[in-house]
Amino acid sequence: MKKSSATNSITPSYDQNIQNIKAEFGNFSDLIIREFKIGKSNIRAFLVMIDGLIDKAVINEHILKPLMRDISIYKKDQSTCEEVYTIIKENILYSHCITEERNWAKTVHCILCGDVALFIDSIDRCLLISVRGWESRGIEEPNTEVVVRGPREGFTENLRTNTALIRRKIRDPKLKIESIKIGKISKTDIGICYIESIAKKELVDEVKRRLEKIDMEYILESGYIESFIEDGKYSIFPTVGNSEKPDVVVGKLMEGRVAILVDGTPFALTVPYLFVEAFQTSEDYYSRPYYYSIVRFLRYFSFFVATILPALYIAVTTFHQELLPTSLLISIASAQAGIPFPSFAETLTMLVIYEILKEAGVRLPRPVGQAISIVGALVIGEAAVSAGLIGAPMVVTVAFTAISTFMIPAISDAATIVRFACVFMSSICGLYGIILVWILMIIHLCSLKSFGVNYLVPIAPTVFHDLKDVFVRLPWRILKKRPVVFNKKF
Amino acid sequence: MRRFVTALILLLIPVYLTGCWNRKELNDILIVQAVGVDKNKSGQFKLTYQVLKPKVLKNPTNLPSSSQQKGVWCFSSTGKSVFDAIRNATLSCDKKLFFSHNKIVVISEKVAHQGIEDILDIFLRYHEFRPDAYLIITSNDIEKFLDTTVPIESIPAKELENVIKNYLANAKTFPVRLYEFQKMSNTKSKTAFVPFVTTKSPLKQSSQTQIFYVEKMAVFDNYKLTGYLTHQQMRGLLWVAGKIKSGIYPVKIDKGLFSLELIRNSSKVTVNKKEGKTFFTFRIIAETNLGEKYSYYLISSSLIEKIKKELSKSIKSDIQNTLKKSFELNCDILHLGDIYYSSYRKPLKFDKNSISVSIVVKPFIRRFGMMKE
Repeated sequence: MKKSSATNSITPSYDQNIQNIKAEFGNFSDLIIREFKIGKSNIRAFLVMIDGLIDKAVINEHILKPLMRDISIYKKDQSTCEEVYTIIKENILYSHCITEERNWAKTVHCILCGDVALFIDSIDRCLLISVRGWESRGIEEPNTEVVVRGPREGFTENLRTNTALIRRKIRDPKLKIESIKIGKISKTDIGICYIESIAKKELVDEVKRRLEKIDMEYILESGYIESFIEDGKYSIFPTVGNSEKPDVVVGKLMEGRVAILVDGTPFALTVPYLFVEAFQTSEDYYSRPYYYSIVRFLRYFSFFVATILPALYIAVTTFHQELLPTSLLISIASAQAGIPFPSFAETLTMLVIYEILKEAGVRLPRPVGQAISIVGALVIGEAAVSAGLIGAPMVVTVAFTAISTFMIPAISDAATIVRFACVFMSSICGLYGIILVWILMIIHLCSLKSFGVNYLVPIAPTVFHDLKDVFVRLPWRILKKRPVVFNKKF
Repeated sequence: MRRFVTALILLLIPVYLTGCWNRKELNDILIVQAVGVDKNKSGQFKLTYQVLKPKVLKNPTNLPSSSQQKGVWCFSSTGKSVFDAIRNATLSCDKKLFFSHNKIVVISEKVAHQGIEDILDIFLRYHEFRPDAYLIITSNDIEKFLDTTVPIESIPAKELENVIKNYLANAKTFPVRLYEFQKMSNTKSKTAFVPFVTTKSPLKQSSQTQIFYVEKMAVFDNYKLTGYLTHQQMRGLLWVAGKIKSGIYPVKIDKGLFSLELIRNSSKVTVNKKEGKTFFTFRIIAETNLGEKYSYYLISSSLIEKIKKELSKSIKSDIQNTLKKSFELNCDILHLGDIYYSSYRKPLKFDKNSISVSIVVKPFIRRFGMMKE
């Protein structure tokens, strides 16, 4: 970068300005510098913009046309540049957002964000006209959070669209959306959303403090931010929530949480994030409560199954055969007869194969994905059993475990890690090992915090007021009071 | 990092504190379903085991029914003690025996006469054995008894277990688990009873399969087999013990025969001492349904009274029978000594002349069935 005085502020010299722009941007293929004369006068001016980030029609119709033609309405021949500048600013430009800028660096930044800069001869400042308009994806139903009942809109990669989606649901000036930029090079826009009267001020300040501390060159996704602001730095459990749906985020805002929107990704972050949130879905609240209360229980049960079932199988078949009812033991023993591997190796193989199948299925294009499911179902499921490599009960166990994992997508990765730990420990010391892993996990969960709130709240420490939305979902009549955990000191 | 390593070491220490060190794959154990105890001619213990063959049981839709496809196999081993014999089994079989799923302990009649206290010791003491296995006495050859091919189940021990658990419907036998036997033998009266099971052909024609038959109940006095109770006498015993669940009482009145099904009942025993004599009173309430009737009699209230009377008579005679047998064998089968002890804190002098028993039966007939006449 050129270190001349010209780079700090805009010069009155037209040629100097053009030179500076060219020096700053170099040989940009998408940089457009449009030179023209204002009206019938001989005052020179030029527009600087980045092709692709601006709306061309607006520039042609509402900026260039008035500047080159309509200005003659104000019949002022040979007026000074300063007068022309004022007229342009106040009367000519048909744009909703115009800012005057003297600072060179800020001007450059705004151009890169999609503004158009208007430089006029012998004026030492420029006008930044907001004509941002780039290609972006429309609002679609998010793939990660499909619902049967409930809004189908999802966030997009565009921060403004996302804030509008939230704003549309809460029409109250208390909904604040503050903006900061993170990323030394990428300068990504971040929006901090909260509702002033509900979210605790300390929480908002803490979020801002943590965001400002982020020292990163670029932010491509909210996951980058998540890893910098989360409490349990090396924890396998997430302490920052994410969602792709505006209704989910608004629901969390209304409970007193803070949402962090990141430009360029449809995933918004919500803090604080509690363990119980992994077992809640937006549909719980939209449907009638009775059935979804059962589903809640099933989710907790699924977490249990997803973490310990294969380990339990190992423990029971290699250490505690006396625990099983005789008839069950006989069927397992008969299925297991002739299997060449020990239970542990068998289980581990199946679990690893399952993880491979899952990962392979996610990344592949859809037509190839079918091949994966055929390989998974037929080769692994049927052929391996009939070839006598793997026992049928093992396949059932792993399949049930896999299905259970999908019940709790938010913590499925943590559940997988706990599952492997349980499998290893149970192969060393049976049921005792499983219990050991669970004790460790619960100690860890108890010690975790998310933005000053205990991770396991309202289960531990128990907050009876909030338990109505944990294991069951009570009707809205009872539920309408906001949870107290975010405003309580523990 | 150092703290982390320290924590890890501390966490790994309790792994060695566990009792779960004996890891054994399912393919490395022989699951014993029944074990028989006998003595051979030289006085050594001879144990016979009924062991699962998982590979044969593999296809559950095609359960073996013929003798070639039995889900178990039997073999035996000898030793100076029971435990010794069990370990000697590894001299001839390929894997270690696993006793935690043992359902049945069969003891031969011959051994039972000499006393079974020492034999049962290991079954109740050693951690791998289950004290809830059923105890059975047989006069058959133990090897043949365990190697019976049964018609329905592919595991004979399972079938045997089901047969002796059928007492619920007949009230003529009673299944006894090892710990129950031990408990009964450790009372003041020191008597216990155990089902006596033999095998028989299901039909008169010769058949490949055999079925189990609970012929009578063996009576143990201080761990020694002393005699047998018939089904009737056993019923009397169950009345006193209050362990009757259901059963059929056929009652004869003139030429008519009425079958009554027991549905609910209760019994209470009280004891009194008067002039050196001990009076026991059994109060029994028996609720029944009329299940069957062979006669041209119309059901009338006078007939019902008659049936009731006959019913109480036959219940009484069952109990009297048991009592008679008890005095005959000179052992307190009815556990009267315990009842006496709990009231007077003194051992009962078990003597025919000093004990007097009265039985009060209160019979009810609740329903007469769906047929009008």
